[in-house]
Amino acid sequence: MKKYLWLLLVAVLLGAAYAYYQYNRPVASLEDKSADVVLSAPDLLKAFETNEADANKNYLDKVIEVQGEVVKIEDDGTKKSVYLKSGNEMSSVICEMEAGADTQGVSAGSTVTMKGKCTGYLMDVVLVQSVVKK
Amino acid sequence: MKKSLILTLLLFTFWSLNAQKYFTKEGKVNFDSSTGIEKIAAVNTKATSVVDFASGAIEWGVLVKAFKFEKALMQEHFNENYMESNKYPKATFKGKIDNAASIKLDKDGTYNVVVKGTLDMHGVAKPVTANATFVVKGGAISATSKIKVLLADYNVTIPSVVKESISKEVTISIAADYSVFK
Repeated sequence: MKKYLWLLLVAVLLGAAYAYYQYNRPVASLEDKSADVVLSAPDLLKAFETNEADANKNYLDKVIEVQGEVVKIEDDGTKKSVYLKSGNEMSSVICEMEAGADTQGVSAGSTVTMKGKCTGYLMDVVLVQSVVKK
Repeated sequence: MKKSLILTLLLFTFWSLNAQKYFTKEGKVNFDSSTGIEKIAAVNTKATSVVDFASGAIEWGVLVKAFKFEKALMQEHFNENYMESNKYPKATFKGKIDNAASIKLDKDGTYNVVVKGTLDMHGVAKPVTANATFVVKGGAISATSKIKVLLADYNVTIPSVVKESISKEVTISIAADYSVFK
């Protein structure tokens, strides 16, 4: 009987540990995640410009690998943002990165491949948690 | 001679009208519904905003999925259960600065104004009035504001199990550094 009590205690502790882990789990990095969709920055913007509802259905929350020419990089200390050329003067594909993210090889005019989670379209298509694809 | 003068004048007015439009794509929106029990806060640094100081029209837009929480689980619940961001990916505010003429873009200073408009989120549009502060300094224009929003007004329901840890009233703070709209 005592043995079962011990087993029960262990099970409860394990459960509590798992719950605690879940509760404190940080937002996962996309570094090791493979992309759901691969396309170019102009194509991604075009998809949202032609039919936003469809594009939302296809791309929201998906990990997207996007190639494009870098317009600029903004760094405000808390976040970095890489703007990719999209064929439209007013709009870009903006890849938001963590402040400490590695942006080696990314500079205005260079062509890069970024990986990020698509959050939708305002004036630009925004990808968050982005990383540079090596 | 007269013609060219009129033309120059026209061009000049057009130019100055044009210079009254400002925008940002890096606006910050903070969201806080913490209670004494739990810290629930998120930040979005990709808000878009356009202001036309000539007419006083102002617009804000955010992508709900671009809010970042400290804890992944909170972020998931926020998107899936509360904001239903697959169904409603955007939140927008469209409004008007009450006394936009009081903001002198060519004079450094802090201008307190009232903005009235419509906040549209989670599929519900409601009128909102906010006190906002515009700061003009050496040609640079920035703005801040803070509003309180009742979750129930926007059909966001909180399950009774977590009622104690999520505030019914959410504080939304915004901040933007505007650039001239080209």
